[in-house]
Amino acid sequence: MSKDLNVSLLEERQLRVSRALGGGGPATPAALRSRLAERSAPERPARSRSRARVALAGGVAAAALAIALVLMTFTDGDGSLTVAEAARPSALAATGAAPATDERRPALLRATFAGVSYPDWERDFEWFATGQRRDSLVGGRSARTVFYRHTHHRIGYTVVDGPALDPPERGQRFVVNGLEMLAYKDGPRDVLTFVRNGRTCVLAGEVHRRSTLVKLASWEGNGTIAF
Amino acid sequence: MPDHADRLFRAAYALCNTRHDAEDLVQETYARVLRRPRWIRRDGDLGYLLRVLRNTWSAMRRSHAARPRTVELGEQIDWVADPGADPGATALELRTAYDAIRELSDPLREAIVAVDIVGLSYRQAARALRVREGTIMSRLHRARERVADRVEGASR
Repeated sequence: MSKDLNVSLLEERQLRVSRALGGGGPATPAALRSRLAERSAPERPARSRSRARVALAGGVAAAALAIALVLMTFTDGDGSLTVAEAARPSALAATGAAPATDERRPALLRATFAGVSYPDWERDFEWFATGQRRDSLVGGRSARTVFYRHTHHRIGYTVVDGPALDPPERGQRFVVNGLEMLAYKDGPRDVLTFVRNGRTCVLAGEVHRRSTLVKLASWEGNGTIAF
Repeated sequence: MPDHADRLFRAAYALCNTRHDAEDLVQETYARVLRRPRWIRRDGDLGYLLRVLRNTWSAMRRSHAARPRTVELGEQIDWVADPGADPGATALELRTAYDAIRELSDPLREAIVAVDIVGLSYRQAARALRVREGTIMSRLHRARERVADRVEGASR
């Protein structure tokens, strides 16, 4: 048998394994698919939860079974709103009073938007809430911003309703406490963005060090703040 | 084309010894991904999922090592061929191939799972498994040879 033929046979054996494994395999059990669907169903307010269950029972959520779709909720933006635009409200004036501390959960303020609770950083970091505002952004996306102050520094914590926006193309990446964040500079302001509960959050303002924003965003409030 | 859940389950089944362990592994992987959402570029999500799956598998093995071993009897699993797949690949061949993969060393097993089962490119697999591309290629070659030996032996 010639050397070329040997090589060819060897390649054919390898290809056959590759083709077989790539073209089939054990079927994903239906029960597992159901459990994954339940797990991946997004958190909703109580009023709409029953409706979501009906939809699931009807098989409408079958497409949501794939992790691919779960991931897309973290990655897909609406194609128009950007993180830079979502950071703008934090540079504007507050239009409402500061939310009070949640007495039952002192690490949080009594302010929640799109399933994301705003932290109370006063006790641990001396950043106290000073006001808030609501905005309608590009594409009709709602956002709520809570402002914080420490000495003469002011930052805004904006949460954008709807699917998470595409991350900025450039930025410094941080991962703290398992939370992935991207930071970049916008003029004199530092902007830090991350995803909590499937929503884009933007922390922006003029601070001495970017690490301040990273520290605040990744604070878990002794386990009270879920990412 | 199989979706990510299918690919994950196949990868898990190739790594684990039983269907139930594979289901647990996929569920735990899923839970970890949901607990720690990250920005994932479309071409990087499978690699990221494989890395989480592999880390979860390692953690599960460590915790299982302390428990008594159990053997699953009469395990029911269906085998499916994807549309457009090699018609020569039978369920028996697939089953034999998966059995052979389970007997490989971890590095060889991870390489063949990453490339042939999950469908990553060499580069993506190298990134997911944190090894060099050349390492993936050589491990994959050895892994396929061993699987091919086993499949051919079974069909004789």
